[in-house]
Amino acid sequence: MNPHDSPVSRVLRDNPHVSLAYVDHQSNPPTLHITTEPTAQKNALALPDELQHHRLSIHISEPLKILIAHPGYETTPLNGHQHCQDPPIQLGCQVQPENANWVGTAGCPARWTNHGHDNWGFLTNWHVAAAGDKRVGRLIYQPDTSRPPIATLDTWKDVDPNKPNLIDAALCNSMLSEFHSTSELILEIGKPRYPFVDAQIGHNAIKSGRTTALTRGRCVAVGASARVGYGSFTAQFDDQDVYEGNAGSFSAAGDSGSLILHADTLKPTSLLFAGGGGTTIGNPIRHVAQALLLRFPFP
Amino acid sequence: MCKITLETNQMKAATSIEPQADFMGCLLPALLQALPIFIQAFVECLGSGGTTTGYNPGGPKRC
Repeated sequence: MNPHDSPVSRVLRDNPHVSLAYVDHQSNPPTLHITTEPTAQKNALALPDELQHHRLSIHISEPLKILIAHPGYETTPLNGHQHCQDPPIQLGCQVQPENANWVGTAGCPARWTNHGHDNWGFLTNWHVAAAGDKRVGRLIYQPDTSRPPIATLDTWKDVDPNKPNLIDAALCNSMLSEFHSTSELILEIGKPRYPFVDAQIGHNAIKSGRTTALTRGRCVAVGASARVGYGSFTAQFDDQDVYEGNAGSFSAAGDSGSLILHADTLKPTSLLFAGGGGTTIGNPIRHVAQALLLRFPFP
Repeated sequence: MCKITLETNQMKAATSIEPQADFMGCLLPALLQALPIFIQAFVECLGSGGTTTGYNPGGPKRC
């Protein structure tokens, strides 16, 4: 099924106050989970026919938003993910793009083909590396613009506010001279294992990011539809993976771009890009790989 | 009639075939049995790019 034609996608399109919708098919009867703004009323929901007989579970929560941070936003104590690194730079670290007043996470070692050439570097979000100045060659700094750049923006998929999306992703080439500045390792995790896998409800998850560093959680939903705030606009995403932390939040502002992995196998599952109200949203890595012509494994 | 040894961990196949082995009855089934191993090795080789040429981590200190 086209994910943009799914019943939960239509729930978001028909209900502007709903920020997250997914179906738990493991319950009997299946349960439709909806997260909505505090002012919304249950009887105001417009549900497609396919979902009329589902059990309904409504959560009241703040809207979902992208997880970038101001460069001066520091955790206490400052974690190693915000420190300057000498090459080869381990990922899960803070990056700041040229002409931007925000920071995010360089999440995942990546290799891809662009115009017939192999490129090596890292995967992050479109809104971390490309938004505001979408230009091949845009400099990417680590940990911020006070240190020399480590990469250039190379490939991205625009987020469209006017139609449902699947990914918020960008690739940065880490070769600035004769060397690649970035490593194939992720801070506190090591080397991801391949092939990547689809997230599955209940699986243990792990991620390494700029603000909350190493956190553990679990996948609570797949195939979800989410409405995410980008500051100046909102965008809908379909067929998304949903995670919650085991102890505290799984993510926070500044963790956008982190790679989410299966905790037991260290195989990538999702690209973290949004969150709110204790929930973290990730693009399935299969959609990212397909759209950006990612090649695995990294050497 | 024939003895086939597959060393799957090393991604290679070694065959020891006695003189009377016939192609359809022995060698062909052995080759078919080994085919998935060769395909897997080929795919993994493609996936890794065959070599690590092109990825050159390092560079001067910057901190």
